[in-house]
Amino acid sequence: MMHARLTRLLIAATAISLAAAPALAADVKLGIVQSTSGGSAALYGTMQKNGAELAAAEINASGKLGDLKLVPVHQDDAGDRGQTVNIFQRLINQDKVTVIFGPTLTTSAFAADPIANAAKVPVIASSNTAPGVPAIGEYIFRTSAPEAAVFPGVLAYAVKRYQPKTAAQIYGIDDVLMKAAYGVHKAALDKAGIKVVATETFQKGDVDYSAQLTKIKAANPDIIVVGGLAEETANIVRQARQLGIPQSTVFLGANAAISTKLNDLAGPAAQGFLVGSGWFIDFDTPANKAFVEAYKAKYGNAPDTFAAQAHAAVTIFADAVKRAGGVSDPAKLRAAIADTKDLETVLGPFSFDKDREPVLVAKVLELKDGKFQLAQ
Amino acid sequence: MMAALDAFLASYGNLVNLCLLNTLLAYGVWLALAANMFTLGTGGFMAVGAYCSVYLTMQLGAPFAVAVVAGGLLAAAVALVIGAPVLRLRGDYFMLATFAFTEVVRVIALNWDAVTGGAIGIYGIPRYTETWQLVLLVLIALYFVFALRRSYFGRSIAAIRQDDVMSEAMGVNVFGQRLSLFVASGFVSGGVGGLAAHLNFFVGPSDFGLLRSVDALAYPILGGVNALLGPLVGAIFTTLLPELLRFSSQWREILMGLLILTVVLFLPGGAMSLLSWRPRKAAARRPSTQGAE
Repeated sequence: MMHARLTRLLIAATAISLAAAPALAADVKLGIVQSTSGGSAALYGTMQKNGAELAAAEINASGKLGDLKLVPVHQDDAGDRGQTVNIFQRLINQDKVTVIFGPTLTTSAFAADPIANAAKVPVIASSNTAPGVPAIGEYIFRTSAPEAAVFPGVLAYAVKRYQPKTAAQIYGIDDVLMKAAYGVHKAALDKAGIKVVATETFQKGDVDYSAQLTKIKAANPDIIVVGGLAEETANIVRQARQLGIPQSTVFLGANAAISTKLNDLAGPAAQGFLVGSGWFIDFDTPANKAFVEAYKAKYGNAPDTFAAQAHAAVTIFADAVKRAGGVSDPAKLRAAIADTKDLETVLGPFSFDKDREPVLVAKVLELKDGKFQLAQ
Repeated sequence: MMAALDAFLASYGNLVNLCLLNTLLAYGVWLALAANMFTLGTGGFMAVGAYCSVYLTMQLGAPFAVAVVAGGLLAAAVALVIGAPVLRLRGDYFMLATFAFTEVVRVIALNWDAVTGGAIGIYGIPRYTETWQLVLLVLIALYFVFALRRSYFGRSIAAIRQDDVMSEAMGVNVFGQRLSLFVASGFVSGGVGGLAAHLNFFVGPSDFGLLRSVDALAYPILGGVNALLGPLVGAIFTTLLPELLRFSSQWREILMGLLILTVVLFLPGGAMSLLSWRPRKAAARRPSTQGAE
């Protein structure tokens, strides 16, 4: 009978999920909700999973938390919001995790974070950058610098170096992040007294931007601000140069455009491209150097910003556990996380502001000789 | 007993809700499939219902039940307007036209910031959808479909599914019946959209695209269009699958694809045809009843 078979399958599946390691008194379970399958989200998710697990292993080895042992429990949501909510419910009510790191996508965060917030389980995101995520509730934090935290620094640098009077903006209209980035860019430009002479948009999957760039060229701006992901930005920069927009017209990009792909696809056209970030691989601090080494040794490839932000999230949590004197009181633990001040992380000194947004030194990076380097 | 149920729902409540919600959606799509309308408009109708009901509850403070019904009615009205021209198309063209509708709704949702929140979507939606409401609605849907299949109307739909030219010749108003089914399907999908929007605090344009329409179409087809419980089985199977295969981590998507492929290949009448499965010899002697009751 189909029915009996289905029941048996269900029982088997439940047994498997229950067979997860039994918790010892000194175990602190960390829920890690990152997409490791399901399209491009998996790229970011895998990096964050690795970064978080590496941090947990390092903290356990260091003995910093005494007899408390961090036990990461990773669950893959495949970038699907429904699954994220399923996982949150199970992690909170069945696995009884102390904290959740994730989820990978902002849309998942909007759906799942309220559940954790109501259950008083802190959530520390390391890739959600759209506005409004920590505003979900008192227990929601993030280490991923939103565009608003990094772009003003980039613009200030550009103003100092190039004294631009006019700017053009081009951004992805159907992407949550890019639409938000556009608003941030516009506000910063207005504040700096730079006139926006052209505003153009594109859609996900576009590959030809010549119509928009021709209009921008006609407006002859001093700088061009792009709200796009790495691939889109690379195509825009390359096609702009092909259309004859001179190298002296500097491009400023969104945080999400930071990727080695940008250089691979745009080549010399992207020389001088400016972007702001919370982290970059050559960031010269002992903590970061050790992190990059350890990451390469463990996973065989170089970490990216998301891995670093996830590593920082676990570091922050461990520090808060120490200051709160354990994990038995969720309110105390939450307060300790919120009180994080100038903590040394791979991102540099890290604090949370009163809205649970990250406060860190924004690094202005310039694409020079095929590599993102600290702008001088 | 109650305590055990509470503990179960605390951990698996969302999964149960998703199963129920998708079951409702599957019956909505079934209404269209019953008369051979392979609709990809489900995502579009869901979006119309979702945004409408969220607007009503959040901006105008309307009661939840009113908002969901209004969302369904608006989706039904839209189905009526697009159904009239689109239903003159057949097969592939009908599918393409309904797909185009879903895309148009998605693009409107992306750009009409005041109502839909644009690309970011709407978050902080109050949670009104409860499990008991969904259970009740699924029971109502089941009874409705059960009654429909036995009615005169149901027999004429079955005739249309077999051969619409013949049915027309026999005096069945094929266009009228298809239109009313399409509108009913729109109503159910719109209502489900409203329920879904008030379940997980958030709606965004990417929730109701082509993928949603294809998923919804797969539920009744996988479960079996000809059996009363087909859509229910298909919806629950497809919703549980990713969770049941969670242990396989990286293999999960491959296994899911393989399982679905297996059902499609070996059970072309849907999973419910397992119940009427007979050894090959007997089946070969029987006249083919593929697609019949």
